[in-house]
Amino acid sequence: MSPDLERLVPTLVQGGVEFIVIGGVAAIIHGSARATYDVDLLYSRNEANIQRLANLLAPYRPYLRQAPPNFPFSWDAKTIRNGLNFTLTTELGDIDLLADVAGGETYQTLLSHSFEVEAFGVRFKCIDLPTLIRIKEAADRPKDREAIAELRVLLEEIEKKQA
Amino acid sequence: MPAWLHASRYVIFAAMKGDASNADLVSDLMRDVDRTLLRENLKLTPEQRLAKFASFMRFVAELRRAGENARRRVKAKT
Repeated sequence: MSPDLERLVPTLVQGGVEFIVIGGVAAIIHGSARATYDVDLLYSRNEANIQRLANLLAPYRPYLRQAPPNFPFSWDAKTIRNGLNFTLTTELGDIDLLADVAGGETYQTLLSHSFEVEAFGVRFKCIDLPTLIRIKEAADRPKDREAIAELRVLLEEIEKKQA
Repeated sequence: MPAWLHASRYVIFAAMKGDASNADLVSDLMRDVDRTLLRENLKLTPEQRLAKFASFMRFVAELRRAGENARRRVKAKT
């Protein structure tokens, strides 16, 4: 299920959640023409942030994607604390909540490679384009190759425009 | 040449070939990227790009619903 960004992003920002948009939605922010069916969020692992994430997403009934219906899973701070990366399906769409990405990068280490975007009436952080390319290259997944090619072309076009 | 060295040469060459083809593949794919679409998107603000994406996703959801309804109708007839 595709993410309802118009509801998800303001909910998280207004609730004070610390996150950076990465992945396909970040690519769209940079100008990508490729569709994506989930949103990847790199979240801060500090205790207050974990609590906020647990409380704010709970009403939207997060559940592990592709887990059987009777799989014992409850969305709360303890679950987030005990896990790292969650591929969730929610009433706001599919959300990948990531504590780290390929190369071991975290919210803290990538904060200086993010910038503020204003959309849906709020301001939030998005990863910069060179870092997005670097993350995708580090993941080294065959399915990302077309996306990497497009992002590199985007970078070329932006640099050409700035020159 | 000992057999182990002979075999390891193939492993090393295969790995080198693999790396080269990955880079080549992305470069090849870059030639196929439609730059006109990207240039149009670059004229928009990030907010406008997200709005365009959200609107496209609503369109996709509507098409999915229509497809599901059509399949249900066909199934009901048979």
